[in-house]
Amino acid sequence: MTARRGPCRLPHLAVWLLALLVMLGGISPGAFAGMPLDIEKELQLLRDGQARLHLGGSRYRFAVFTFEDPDGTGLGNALATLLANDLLMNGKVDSRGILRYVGDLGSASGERQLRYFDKIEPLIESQGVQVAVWGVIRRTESGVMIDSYTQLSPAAMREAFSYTFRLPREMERAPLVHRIGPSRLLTQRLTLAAAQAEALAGIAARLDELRAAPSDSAPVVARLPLGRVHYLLEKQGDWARVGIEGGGEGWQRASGTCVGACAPLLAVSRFASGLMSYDDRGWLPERNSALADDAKAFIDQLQVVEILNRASPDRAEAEALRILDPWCPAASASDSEAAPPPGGAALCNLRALARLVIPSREAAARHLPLEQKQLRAVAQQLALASQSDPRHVPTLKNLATLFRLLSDTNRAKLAGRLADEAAATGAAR
Amino acid sequence: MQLTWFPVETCRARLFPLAGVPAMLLALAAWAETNVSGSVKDAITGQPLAGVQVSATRAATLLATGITGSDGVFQLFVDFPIQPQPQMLGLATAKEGYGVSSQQVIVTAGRTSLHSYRFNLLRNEAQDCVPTWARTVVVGHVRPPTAATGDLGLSQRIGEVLQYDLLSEVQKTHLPPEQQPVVLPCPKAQPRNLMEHADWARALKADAFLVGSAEPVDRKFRVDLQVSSQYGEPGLPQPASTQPLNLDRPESADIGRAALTPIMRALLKAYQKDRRFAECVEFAVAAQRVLGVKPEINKLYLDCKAQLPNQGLILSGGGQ
Repeated sequence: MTARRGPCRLPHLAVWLLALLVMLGGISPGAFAGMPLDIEKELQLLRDGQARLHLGGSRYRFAVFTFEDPDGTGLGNALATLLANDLLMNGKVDSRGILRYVGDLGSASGERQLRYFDKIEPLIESQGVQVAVWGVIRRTESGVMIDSYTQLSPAAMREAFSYTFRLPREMERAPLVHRIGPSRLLTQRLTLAAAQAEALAGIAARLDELRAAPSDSAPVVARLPLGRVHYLLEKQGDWARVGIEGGGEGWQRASGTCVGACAPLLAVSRFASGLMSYDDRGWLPERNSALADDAKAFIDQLQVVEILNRASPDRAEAEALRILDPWCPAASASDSEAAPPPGGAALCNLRALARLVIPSREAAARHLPLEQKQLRAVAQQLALASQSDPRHVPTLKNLATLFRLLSDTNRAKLAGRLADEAAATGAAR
Repeated sequence: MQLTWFPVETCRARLFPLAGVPAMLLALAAWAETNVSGSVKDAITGQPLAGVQVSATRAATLLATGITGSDGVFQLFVDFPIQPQPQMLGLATAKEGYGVSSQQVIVTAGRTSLHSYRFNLLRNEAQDCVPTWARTVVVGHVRPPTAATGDLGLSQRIGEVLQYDLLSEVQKTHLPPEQQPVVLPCPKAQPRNLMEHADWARALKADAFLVGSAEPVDRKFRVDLQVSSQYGEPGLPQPASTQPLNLDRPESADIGRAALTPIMRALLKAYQKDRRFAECVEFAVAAQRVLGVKPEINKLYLDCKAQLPNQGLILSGGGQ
């Protein structure tokens, strides 16, 4: 999609590169420079092998892209600015950096004609970014519809959202694996009336104002300059003191700005931030009603993993299945009329594993293997799930393991081969 | 590229020993008149094309030229050395209003490898619409509403919307870019009648080929699309209509979910025809998440599922 942009209403914000480092309690920011990151230029540098790391000091790294605005609403930068600002002010991880990308995700780039998710992936991989936020704004008859997406880097998926549990020693402590999915999510679909959309632009426009004191009546003493790094110095209630690299500082509202029709939008940045605080401290992201099914399914899987990891196994399996059954009912894998769940086979893979984790612990305590009947039932559930998501690597790997333990050599080989082929095509998740 | 010029004498001195060998062999070979014949058609209508100039060249040397007759047939007689090893000959067409097409001819012992060489020429207006990608949706001419001033760029606009609608869900499945559908706006592609739609789709190798017109509805307009496919069943194209759109705001043109169904179905058939069953299943899942469960999508989904090697993983007796 080639963007046809309307008049740029927020030119100064359009090129914000927020480079933020917040050390314990939001006090000791690192000193590092920022620059506006143009998507196409960064991709070209990457192709030429000349890409360099931006904001290298931050542990948790976010990328916020200007929202695609093919209908020319003029809101593309405003939405990205609101979300980037919220990640800065209210992010739940201590050390965080927010890269701000500008440009067009809908137009094809490079020989492989990359667009959208595929275009973002090499950028965030090269920058060590764990979570990217982007979106698309579309006009409707009465206002706008905003699709917001979250994209997790392959490294983040491997390191923070992959789980392995091992079967009892009597079963060679064979590993069964799970990866939370999807890694590319529709986080929210928000519909706003035209007047509400206008209000968003007004709110975003005021985000560059820094005041002399933490008060709405205090005079504006500085404005966040074009493309300059700025960072959080301290927070006092609803206000935050922001420093600008190279000089200048002032106070800005940390909360209470994006209210009314704007407020549901913050579920997007809170979800992105929540994913990293889960990795950092094990805090589950809030399951906000403003989130789309993809995001809810992701959070539900995190919750199930927490339940299964719990020291006390009482009712763990039942609790896990209660959460997973709405996404992957016991009969759904063979039910051709059901729309597949978000994340493809991931939810059904976790459901299958949930049926083995607790029995496996109990069997291990008695130094016994699991019953073949249990393994067969789980293998069958996974085999059915793989029919609607044929290249889901964790599911195929688990099938290879289970069939090997069941001495079903042919199926074990087939599952192993399919897993290897899926991984080789790049279609693997 | 850097060119280096040698003095003529130096050049001769260097090349003579090598250049002389084939020259001597050619001198020794017998020569014969080789018959190269074939036919030329309009790629879209399939009708024979008269008056097409067909040229035969070898190593940039023009050997023979001819013109097709009213039946679109050409016949060239080319003087060619009779040799046991295959020799290459280039054939190229030229006709006003059509793009150039060329083929290689293999001649062995004075005979061509094929009895007849066929050319299907694309009209100039279709030249920019030939996809280079595995899966392609071509958005042809979309006639603007009569009340509109100017073209409104509806073909381009619908192409942009389609690209996002198709890719945003499909990319979640991590389908490799090479297997994702690409949307190619082609406003000059304008079939003359309904029967010609499928011909255009085949000529452009489009998995889905869209042509439409905007019809006034009260103070708004609705775009009626016709969807054909290179793999489509014989007959008329599938109709699909947008919601009524605001004429004052053409940039808000959205083809709508209902209109996506025949397009996604056409793409699914293309994956199936290419025996890309995993991609077919993944695309069908994405389609169901966008459109809900549609019988016409679900049938193809089940057909592709049945062809997956993953079927071999299911245990007989239901895993009991």
